[in-house]
Amino acid sequence: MAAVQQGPEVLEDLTKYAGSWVAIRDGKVIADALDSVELRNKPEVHKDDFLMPVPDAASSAFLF
Amino acid sequence: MSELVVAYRDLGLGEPRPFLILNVTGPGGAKGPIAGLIDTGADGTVLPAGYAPLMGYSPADIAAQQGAGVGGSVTMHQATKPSKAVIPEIPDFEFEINPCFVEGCQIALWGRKDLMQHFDVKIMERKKQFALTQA
Repeated sequence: MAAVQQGPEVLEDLTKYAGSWVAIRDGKVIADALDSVELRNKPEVHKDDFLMPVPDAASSAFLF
Repeated sequence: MSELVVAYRDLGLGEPRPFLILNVTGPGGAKGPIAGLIDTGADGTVLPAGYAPLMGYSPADIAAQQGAGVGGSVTMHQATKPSKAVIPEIPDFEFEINPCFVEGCQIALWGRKDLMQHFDVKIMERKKQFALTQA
């Protein structure tokens, strides 16, 4: 049986934030910005929020 | 230690993928979780450039070098100071990561030189799971 890893979960579809950074709290986006520092410095973003970039074409195939 | 089996997750990006969340502590003590893809094709840890300031890296802590990606040659910014990482389910084992920050990179990649120096990785694509075994 696979463990669902601890840590932040994302309950929203992030594709509308493609190309941006988002701050996640309790699974929901609470803020977004084009730049990671701009996002971190927003007053609504807490120190323990989960910050992540959303790929430009988030719903497309990933090639790495 | 026993095997840690982790289910793929989609993180709001439309399709379940082998994401692993590491709790990372930067060189200045900044802490936070980073979700990255298990990537056996990456030599080491590759992070979107926006993570560098969040982790406390200054320009003096980073050296530019050339690398190769799927799209061709890229300028990478190699950290000259390590960060620390922990898998949340294995909190008593901390290991170093030496990230490369890449402009235009949009997903964190956990490559071979850092994570896979410490954990054997097994991908089970048909089950949408991967397993980590501490080496």
